Amino acid sequence: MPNNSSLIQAKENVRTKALIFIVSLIVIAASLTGILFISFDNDMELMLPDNDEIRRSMHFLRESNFSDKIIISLGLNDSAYTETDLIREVDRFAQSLKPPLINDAMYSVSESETANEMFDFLKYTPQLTDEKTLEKIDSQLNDNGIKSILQKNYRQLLSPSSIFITPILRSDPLGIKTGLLSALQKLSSSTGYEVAIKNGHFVSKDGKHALLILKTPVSVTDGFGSRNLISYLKKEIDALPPYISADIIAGHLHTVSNENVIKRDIKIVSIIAAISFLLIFFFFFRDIKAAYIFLIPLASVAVSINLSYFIMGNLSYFIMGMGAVIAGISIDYGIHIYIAVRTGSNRKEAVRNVTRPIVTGALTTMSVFAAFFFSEVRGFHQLAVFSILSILFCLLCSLYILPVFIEGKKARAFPAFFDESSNETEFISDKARIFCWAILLIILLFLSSKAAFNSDIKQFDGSEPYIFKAEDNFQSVWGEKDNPAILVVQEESLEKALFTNERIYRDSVNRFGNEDISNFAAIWPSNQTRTENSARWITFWKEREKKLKSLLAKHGASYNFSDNAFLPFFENLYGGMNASGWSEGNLFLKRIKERFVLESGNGYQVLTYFPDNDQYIVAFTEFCRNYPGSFIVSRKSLSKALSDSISSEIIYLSAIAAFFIPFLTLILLKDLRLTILALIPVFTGIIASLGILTLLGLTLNAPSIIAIMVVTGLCIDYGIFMAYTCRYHFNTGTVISVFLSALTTLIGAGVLLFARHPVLFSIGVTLFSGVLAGYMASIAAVPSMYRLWFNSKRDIAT
Amino acid sequence: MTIRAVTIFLLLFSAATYVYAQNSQVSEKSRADLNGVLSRLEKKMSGIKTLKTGFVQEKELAIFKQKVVLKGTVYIEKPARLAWHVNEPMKYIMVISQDMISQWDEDTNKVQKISLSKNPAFEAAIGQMQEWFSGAYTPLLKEYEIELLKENPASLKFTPRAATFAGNVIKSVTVDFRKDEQYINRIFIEEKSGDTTNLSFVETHLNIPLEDSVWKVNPGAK
Repeated sequence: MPNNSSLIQAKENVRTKALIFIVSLIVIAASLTGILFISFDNDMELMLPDNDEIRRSMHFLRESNFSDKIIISLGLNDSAYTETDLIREVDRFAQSLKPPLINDAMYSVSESETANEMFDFLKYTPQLTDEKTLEKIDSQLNDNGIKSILQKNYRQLLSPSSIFITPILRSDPLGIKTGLLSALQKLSSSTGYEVAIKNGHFVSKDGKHALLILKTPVSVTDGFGSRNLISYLKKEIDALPPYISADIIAGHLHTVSNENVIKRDIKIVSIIAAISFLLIFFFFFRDIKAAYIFLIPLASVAVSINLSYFIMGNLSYFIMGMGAVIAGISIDYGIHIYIAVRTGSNRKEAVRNVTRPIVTGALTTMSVFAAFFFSEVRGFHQLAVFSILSILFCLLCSLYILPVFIEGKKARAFPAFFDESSNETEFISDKARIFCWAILLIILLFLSSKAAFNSDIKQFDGSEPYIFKAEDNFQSVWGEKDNPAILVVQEESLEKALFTNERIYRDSVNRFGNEDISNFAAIWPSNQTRTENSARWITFWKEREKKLKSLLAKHGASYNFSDNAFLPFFENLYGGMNASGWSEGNLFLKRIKERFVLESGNGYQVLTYFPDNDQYIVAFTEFCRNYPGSFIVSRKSLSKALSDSISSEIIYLSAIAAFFIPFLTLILLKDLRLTILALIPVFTGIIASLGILTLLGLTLNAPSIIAIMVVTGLCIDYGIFMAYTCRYHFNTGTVISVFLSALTTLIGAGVLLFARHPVLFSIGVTLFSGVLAGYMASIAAVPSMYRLWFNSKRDIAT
Repeated sequence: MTIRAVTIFLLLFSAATYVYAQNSQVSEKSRADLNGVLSRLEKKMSGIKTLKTGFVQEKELAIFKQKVVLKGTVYIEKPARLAWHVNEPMKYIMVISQDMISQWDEDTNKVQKISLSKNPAFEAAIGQMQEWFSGAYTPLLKEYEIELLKENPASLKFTPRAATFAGNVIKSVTVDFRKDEQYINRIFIEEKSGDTTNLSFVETHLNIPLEDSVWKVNPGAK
């Protein structure tokens, strides 16, 4: 019969358990509820280094109106219908689109009005004609030059289009305006699409597709707004007749799709992970209390998300996607405690025996994540906070709460493989194991030497396939060329911006010609330049007007030209001198200006579009150096900047981790040889991750680098535990613990192989291969190496 | 007196209403007729795949001292080829194929190639001319008032609306169709400046095979 003190003790224990249980439940419930109120962010910028060039480019792309435009390509999918049917539906569809989600729909132009507006612009010819052009004109003001010009004009008048050309020839016999018209035409058609104007609509060459360009106030980074916008557009598209198909090309679609994919991945990954964890514990332990081990990392992740949110503000979806991995890591501590208590004869002693390697493992893993604080990537800081909090919380729960709920009793028998006492192996067998490990390592080392780094930010886009398919369709129909690079001139006033822009244009045309460069200065230089041009024009023609008249009269007769054939030219010779600017009512010009001139919060930006290749980038970068305030936005140079920044960061972070891991291990194990043994799984894991990525044709990227660092943190745990066990032979079930630790981590990482999002998938492959190899090395290579290295009986016994 | 005034008012009102109703009926009827004729012409001309026709173009332009008479042949192959061969007063060939215009004349004996996309003035002018040659005039309703001068064979008068590209230059364009309405007989253009152009088509052949040589400018050119 139990005495009173035991009864009191038992009651006390029950009360303590109940109290801890209730407090834990409240904390978990509050944390889970808190998650519902946390706003998550899928902004890619969070995962990019905080580098000036990168930040400026991303800021420009976000603030400019490019990304807030939507292109819709409507197509005929039934040959029974014609272009007329398509155009009718374009009109109907465009008219159905209304604010607040769509501000403007550009889908038709009046060819006649456009031509009118283009010709109206020509009245500014005097202020747009530079010194070089006047010199060229001057060189033609002689007998041969004028004869040749008149011959050409006469020939034009024989063509069927002469009715419309006659007024142009009469007002511009020297063809001065032709250059300006061509520049105007070039800028208006420099959108990169092959568009034909038919019945005033933007129609593809095959006549089966029509284009609409929509303006929306919804920012591409606004997840909620993007969702509303896309569902609104889809609803309107659904109202189209069945013979019309529609492809939406919009950054918003990527925003929504990425969010959908990540949410779905997180849901699936969490479900698979939860089921797998439960099955493992029930299969191995057949003990309902094993569920506590599962609950601890779950609670840790839930609490850490809330704490991270309070510390860091908005959290990234990418980082939260790592939740399952963190759970996989932090569950290890619970496993070790559980198995130690269940297999040991004394609870306190069992906990004490595993505390040191557990704390060592947790500290080294935390040190790996702590290295991320030194990163320039803001997302990595979130990862560091989130991971360290999860691991710390899980460690504390495992050491102080979990043992309260587990009762020590003899564990049921595990397979012989897990029995540490039966693990006596002959030396030859150890050598064979090490030989196999070495061969595998050499192969992986060879593969890992071929690992390539991919810095293209497009790889982080996990949008669903139908979006890419629509973009491919669009490209094949509309022949969209590669996106050009952009040189941005930023100044506080429009005049200053135009002036700098015009100087850059001059430099770039001198270097490359004007064929591939679209610059606003081709049609509209600064006020200062236009005023100078006007003055020069007046002086030029005051001196040459008579000469031209006499030359035209002299040679015009032989081509049947009348005496007043070119009277309109002389009548308007001194018109259009006002350099103040054009009328904003000229829609054609307004639309060109919108592409080239942006009004930003702190002034104006004037843009130059040029081919995004090395030759141009190098040259335009040089131009930028001469004009402070100008910068280049290019996908290729952005990739290069990212690559440079990430590469230097990887070296930096790896160096920090490479120092901390052996340092902490050595301090806690207090033995150099043991430390080296503990590092074997780390080395194997890293090499395996790199090698398997190469073998699968995948490239290394920033997320996979993070994953490799996580592999490092995990594998050092296995190494420490195995080295510790080899050395001290505590009866704490280390082999089964390490096995279950690796298994749970492999599940945490393995479920990411089911992720559709490329970032999560890439993390999954890296973690899975690294952890698997690290685990194999820890159970196969570490004990064998230990026995070979510490090869005296006394050494082993010690 | 009051009754008389009311009666006169009623009579006047009735007369005005009657006249208004009649005008509306006439205008609606003529619009329906016009639409019917345009559809009929479009349908007939839509069957044309190739065309070869002689032409005589008389230009009375202020830019020239004397009237210019051009004689030659036009070749059209749908959807995008047109050749304009002038034999008098000098040999001149212009071929439009896709985006490119090739020109040759015996005076210079040089071939000049112009990209339409790089020469917007030429492109606009060629575009307008091709519209007249096409016979598909319904889209022109946006830019022109169209008057049906004669129903059978059709004769149409196009007056450009204000603030349109053509409106800056053209006063009116009259298009007469030949008896079977398979193609145009004459296009007469009166410009705002007073210039006129009369383009008559003779010996028109529809849907005949066209030799490759018609699309080539003088091979002996420099």
